[in-house]
Amino acid sequence: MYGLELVAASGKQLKRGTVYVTLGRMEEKGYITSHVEAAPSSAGGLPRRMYVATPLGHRLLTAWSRLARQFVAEFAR
Amino acid sequence: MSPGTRLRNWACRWCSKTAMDRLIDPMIADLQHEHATTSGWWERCWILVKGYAAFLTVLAICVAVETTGTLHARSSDAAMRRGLASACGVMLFLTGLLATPPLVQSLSRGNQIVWPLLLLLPQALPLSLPVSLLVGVVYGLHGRIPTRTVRRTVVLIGLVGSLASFATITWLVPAANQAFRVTIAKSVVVHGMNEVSPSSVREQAVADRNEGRFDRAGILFFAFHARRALVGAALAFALFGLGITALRTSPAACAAICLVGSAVYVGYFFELRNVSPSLFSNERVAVLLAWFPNALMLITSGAFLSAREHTSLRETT
Repeated sequence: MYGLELVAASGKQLKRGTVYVTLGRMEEKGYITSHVEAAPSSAGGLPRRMYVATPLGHRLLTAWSRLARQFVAEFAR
Repeated sequence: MSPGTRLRNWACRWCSKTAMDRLIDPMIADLQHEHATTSGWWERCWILVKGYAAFLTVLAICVAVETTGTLHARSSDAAMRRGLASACGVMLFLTGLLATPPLVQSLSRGNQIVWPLLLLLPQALPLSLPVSLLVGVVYGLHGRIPTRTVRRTVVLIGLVGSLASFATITWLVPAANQAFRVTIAKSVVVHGMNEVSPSSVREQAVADRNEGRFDRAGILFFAFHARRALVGAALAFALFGLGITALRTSPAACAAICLVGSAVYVGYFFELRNVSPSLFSNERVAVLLAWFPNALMLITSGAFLSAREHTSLRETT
């Protein structure tokens, strides 16, 4: 997904001013990879950067989601 | 001109290439794409306003991150300067301390101060260098996390120190010691054990052992291997300092550990003087006993570092 697509998909939980910094840090940690589009999109301008989750990122997300569910259940008691 | 092109050119002055590739360019590319694919004048204006606001946020973060990086580099420089200054101070003090007794003896015989002092420096340096490296590493790196880069730097410093010790012990010390003795005696003096090169000491030790003079052979074997161990001491002390840093204890505790470590090291060699010399005629025993303190320091340092890693892991999980 592109940065702005992530912002839109997050339901405004991600901000367009900070999403690229977050994505950059996630890439440094190996949770995602990114590549620049081969050619500028039909609309013109700079080529966009596409972000894809790595297997490590998927595993981390699964683990984090499980942990978050456990915490929510604990706090709900 | 696509929107954001001027902003991009402006940002080039402030941000690194990585920041441009990872942060600014993706943001501007998305802005340009969104702007181009949206119809309606008001909507396009609103996208520009949101895009420019986002650009300012990203730019502020970029500048902050890069300034922090510069500050981090400066703090590394400061740590290096601090370590170097303290190591030089300790080396001067210890070298002076070790050179004082023979210098006083030389002065009492009516010699000048400068030339005998210069001749005494080589024999004091291999002893003061490891301790000064220990103090320099501990003082310079105190409160810092021993990252891989820091560890590599310390290993490199230790190796350079060991190399300097090797050159001093092998070539400078025998010549300087002999010259000092000649200056004191004011006549030609026969070379003693400390006035010949380490390889000559070992050759003599082998010859003595073959001729059945085990006590003398033991003394010479131990003298040879102790000199070799002293070469390795610079690296061992530097790594011991790294281990102490990893403990992240108070400055007083660090100083106490340095003091105890150095005292145990020196005390060990003093205690070995009471052991029967014939024991060292077996060269393996001489090697083992001479290198034992270095090995102990390396093991302790490894234990300190792994303890720190376990603690960090526990804190993370």
